[in-house]
Amino acid sequence: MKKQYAFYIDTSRCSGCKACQAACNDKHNTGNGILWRRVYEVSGGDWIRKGNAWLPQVFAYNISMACNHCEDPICVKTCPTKAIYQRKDGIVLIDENKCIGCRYCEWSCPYGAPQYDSNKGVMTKCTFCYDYINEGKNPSCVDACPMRVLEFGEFKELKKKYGELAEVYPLPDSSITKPALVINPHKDSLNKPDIYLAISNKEEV
Amino acid sequence: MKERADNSNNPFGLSRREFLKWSSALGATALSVGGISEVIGSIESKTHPFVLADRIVRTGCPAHNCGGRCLLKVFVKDEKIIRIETDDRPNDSIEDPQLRACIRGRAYRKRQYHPDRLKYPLKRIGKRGEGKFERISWDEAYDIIVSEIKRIKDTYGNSSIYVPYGTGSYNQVNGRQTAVRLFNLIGGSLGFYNSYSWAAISKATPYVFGTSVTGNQRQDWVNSKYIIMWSWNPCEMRDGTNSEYFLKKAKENGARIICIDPRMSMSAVALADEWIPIRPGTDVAMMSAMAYVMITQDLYDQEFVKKYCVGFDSSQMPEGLEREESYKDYILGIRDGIPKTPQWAEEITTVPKETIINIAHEYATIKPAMLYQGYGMQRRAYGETAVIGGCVLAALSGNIGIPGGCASGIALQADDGGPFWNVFPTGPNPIKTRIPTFLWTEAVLRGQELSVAEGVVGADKLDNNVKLIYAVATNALINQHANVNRTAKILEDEKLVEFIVVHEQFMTPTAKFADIVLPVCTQFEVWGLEDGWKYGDEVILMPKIVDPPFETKSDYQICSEIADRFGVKYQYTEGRTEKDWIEWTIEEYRKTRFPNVPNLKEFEKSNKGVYSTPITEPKIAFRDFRNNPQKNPLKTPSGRIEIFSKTLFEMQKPCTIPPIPKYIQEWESPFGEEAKKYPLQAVGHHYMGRVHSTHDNNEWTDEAFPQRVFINPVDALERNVEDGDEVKVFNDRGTIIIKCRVTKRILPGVIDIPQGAWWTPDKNGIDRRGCINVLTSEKWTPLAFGNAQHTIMVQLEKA
Amino acid sequence: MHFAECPLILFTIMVQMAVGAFLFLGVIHHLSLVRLNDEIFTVISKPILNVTGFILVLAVIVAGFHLGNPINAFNALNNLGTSWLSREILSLILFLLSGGFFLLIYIRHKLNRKLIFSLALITVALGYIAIASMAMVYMLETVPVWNNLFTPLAFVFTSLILGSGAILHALNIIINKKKYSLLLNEFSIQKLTDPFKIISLFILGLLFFQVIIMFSQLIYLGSGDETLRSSFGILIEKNILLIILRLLLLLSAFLWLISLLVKYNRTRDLLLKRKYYALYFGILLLEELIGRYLFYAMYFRIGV
Repeated sequence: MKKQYAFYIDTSRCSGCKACQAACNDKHNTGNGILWRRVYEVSGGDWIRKGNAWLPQVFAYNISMACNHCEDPICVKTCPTKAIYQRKDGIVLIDENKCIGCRYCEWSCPYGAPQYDSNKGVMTKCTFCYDYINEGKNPSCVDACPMRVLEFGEFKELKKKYGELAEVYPLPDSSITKPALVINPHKDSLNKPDIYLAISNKEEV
Repeated sequence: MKERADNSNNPFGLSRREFLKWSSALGATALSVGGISEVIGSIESKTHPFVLADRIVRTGCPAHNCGGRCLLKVFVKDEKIIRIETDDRPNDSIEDPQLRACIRGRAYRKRQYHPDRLKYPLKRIGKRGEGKFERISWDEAYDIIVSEIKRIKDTYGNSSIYVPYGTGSYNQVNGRQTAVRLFNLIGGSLGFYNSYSWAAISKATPYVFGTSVTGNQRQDWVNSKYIIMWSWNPCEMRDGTNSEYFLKKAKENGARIICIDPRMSMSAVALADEWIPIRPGTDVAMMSAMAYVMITQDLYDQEFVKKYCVGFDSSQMPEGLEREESYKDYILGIRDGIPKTPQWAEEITTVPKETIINIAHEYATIKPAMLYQGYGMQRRAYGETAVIGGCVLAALSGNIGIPGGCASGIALQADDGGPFWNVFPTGPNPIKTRIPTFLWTEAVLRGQELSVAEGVVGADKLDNNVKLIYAVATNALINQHANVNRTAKILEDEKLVEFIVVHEQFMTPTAKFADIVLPVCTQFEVWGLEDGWKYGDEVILMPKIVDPPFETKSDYQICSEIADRFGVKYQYTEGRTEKDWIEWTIEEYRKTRFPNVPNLKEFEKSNKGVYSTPITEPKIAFRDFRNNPQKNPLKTPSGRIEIFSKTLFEMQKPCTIPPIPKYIQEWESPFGEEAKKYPLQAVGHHYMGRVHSTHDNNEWTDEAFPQRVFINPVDALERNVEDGDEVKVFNDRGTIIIKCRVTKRILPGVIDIPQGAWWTPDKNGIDRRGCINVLTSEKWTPLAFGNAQHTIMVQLEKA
Repeated sequence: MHFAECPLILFTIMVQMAVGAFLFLGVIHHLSLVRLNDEIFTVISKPILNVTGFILVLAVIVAGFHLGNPINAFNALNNLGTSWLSREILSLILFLLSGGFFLLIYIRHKLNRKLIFSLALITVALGYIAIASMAMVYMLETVPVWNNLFTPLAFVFTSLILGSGAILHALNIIINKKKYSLLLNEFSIQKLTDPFKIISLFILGLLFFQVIIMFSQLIYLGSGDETLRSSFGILIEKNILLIILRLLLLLSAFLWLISLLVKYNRTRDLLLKRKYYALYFGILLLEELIGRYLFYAMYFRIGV
């Protein structure tokens, strides 16, 4: 049977501390603009003045995001060189030797996973720490989380455990690429129309 | 000592081919590599070549006085650290959780191998503070230091020597304690008490409870059903490794969590059901209004108050003071005619009265409940009253001495007060005089006038002004002390402090003011040992992992070599190497908190890095007192919880040190005249990317958490400021210009400049990095003589 | 917009212009063929075709600057199965080959008119297939702002507007060259300029529609879903001046062309006035460069 590894993110308890990002930087020697795992801070809402009081209607949550190793990865489809490929266990990798650095995958991926390495002139991205997976260990980011909100496992198992939600604002309709992702939503990301949610730490991601 | 990574814990990715090659080479047979669904081709290993570490060492994270004490797993190849992971002990549990490091630990390689590491001893050649130095030899450095110490000792006496507050290293043989030991052997130095972290809370808490041990062990937090995080942001400051994790578990157990903070902090986002922004410095007003609700609606625990407290109402005032204002009098406005109603508090705090009523109801009725105080609200003008106000609320709600409750206050952990931090012996100080640490600039300027009234202890007044500063592991000389421009002027004047030595790893703003800078090694380059911080029941071994680079030395080595030049080398070292001292330290731990801790040899051999004792039955503070107050009285004058403190009353400073917690308008406040010119309050929270000022030069943490001034859109709009704009923040004390982040996550009227950025003045003296202490005031709190750095008003405009 | 996309602006504009120029050269040839000496036309076409070829080669080189790792450039053909980028590159190569072959035969005076005509037709067809593939590259499901009819419209319009403008400009230059003046008598010039009228009318229509398209695109973005509105926001907040400039340029090109047409009715030696066409082409080139810059600038992807 086909294997598909996946990430689970409990956004309801993610503080946005970026230990995962640093763990990823450290393991893969990235950083300096290349962030295989990044944390998006989403916030919105309003402040309501009531006499001298302020009533906050403010919403905020974090989404830690690496590559979702989609079941139907748009990057694999659009890559003109076949440098991006999907393994049988669902892991999507980039063969840097084949890549021409056209950045077309960067345009197309709705999760911001492919990251351009200007020194090498090629695209790079989360490898799911397949080396660790081979050894039966978790990807580096998962074991880094001080809040223990990241999990790694087989997609099916994670879905069984945590449900099928794979999209919260501002993530795209999951039917487009079928991300191997399970999300536990934050209370602020639910049923709140017209609160002008937006990514508020753009310069950090 | 070399340890080869074996297969079972080989962390490095190998393609299967390589993996098999290695494993057969190492003779491993049983491979637990279940889950490989295909033979991995060579493509991945070509594009991401993996390396095998020569050895893996588990060690403590170099704690620079964050609240965390975490475990690192350090990979070394060719004597260089190539990767840093964290605690990987199996069976991560509430009783004995993994000590997972945060971004500061995980990004440490960028600090360890920073190109700006100080490499050689340096001697100042320009004006002091100018930052011009030349390289000198260690011998020359020692000669200068020794002759200056001798000169100043002879001219002014030992009490003019000062080893200032410094928390950059916490691992026994690196850190300021090594210098204190040195000076104690050659006549002593002026001492200090208090800290920049929690001066007010550590001083105030015992007035209520007679002790600082007011917190239950953290494993008990999961028993709480209602948690108020009052000015408490454990996620970001890491108030103890895993505190946020315990709170998450409490949440999973059904606790409702409230966060009261002018900022919607990381902790508020990750943990709180409700965030209540409050105007900084007005916490007591909200507490009073909550008490008003609890009292007028009979929601408070009357039995508890009657049995365990004094000073609540006129029926339980201390003897002789029956006619003084009781807490209830104050709350109901009997004397001052101002009932502390939610409406009254709303005007002051900006918290809507409905919210206050609601929180008071919840706190009084949901049991057990925990009101936990952070330290931001007590680094303020009248920080002590805020602390006591929280303690009194805890008493009114009766949540003291029970599982799931909390007495509030500083909350050191039951039953022994928690970890020790440093046990490296400094020896007795022949100079008995001590000053409050925050008043060191006063001791420089007018030491001989400084007296008991300004917090001097051990003597009526100082004999001398401070003339020599020997600074180890500190950036509090400039960067972290209040009013940077003032401090810089003081230190620039060579007639005031005549000689300054700094031990540092980088050319910090403090090091720039040194006459001699000595390059020291990092924690990875020397032996060390740490236990938890405020909480925790573990001992973490920190073996020396790589050699000190260039000419760097440990603080211990430097001080022992200076001791040698004073002829007290043996007294200093007692014949011990750094490693020997760690062995000694472990034995000290064994004598007290950790009777079963392995000895150094076993500890090192096991490469576990940590020894911990699982907590299955968390200790509850005041349990005995609650069970039998007569038999187990508190160490307060009355033996009970002092809502009214006779001791404070006797200080006769009712306007600044009231005997009951009263709301006092701060000396810089949105309600004062100063607000006309400087209408915004500024706070400086502990930033995730730094430990105070450490890691400010770390490119990974800076990328993740760039230094910005955070401002609400309401205030930004008024000033025509947009997200990302360069803005100028200023008051009479100074000006900074940095980029801003417009965020809804902060109360209008308040801006936030995360503390700890390195002061970087341009040619006009404007700080371009965003060191909040350019704006803060050197004024101290009335009771603790502590820092009130958060009490400041500023203006912000587009740069 | 990302700095790395500068080469793409030049590349797409150059390719589209070259395809359009080839088309219009053919159109003029066809319209004037009946009365104009074949050989004469060949002589004046040759430099135009050479320049076109040169521009195409330049475009390919410029495209290389977009790549982080151009050494591997040939890998770009690996994924014809699913990647429109591979397909674009293939169709471009085919267009180049066909064009090169055409040039070879044309230059050697192998005047098999049928062969040349079919080859020209094939080349034009391949050119527009390349432009269509180019449009498909941008029509990504995850980039709604590009994933609509406006993308192919923009590319085709660039090709037609700039192609025709370039040809008129080129003919204008050639006719004014002494070298050719011996060859071209008044009669030939007139035969050459006659199609100009028809083409100009056609272009007037294009320019008019270009303005309509610009406005409808803005309306489409402004009234669309969140991602489209974000693009709209980028255009309005950061690039409103460029949009106005582009409109002004379109308007001046339009008026310029009308004035040329009016003059043409009076004096028939219009093509001898050099600066008229240089300016006209310059305006259009600038207008299209701005248009393409805005095309990349309004990029906004769904998701994060």
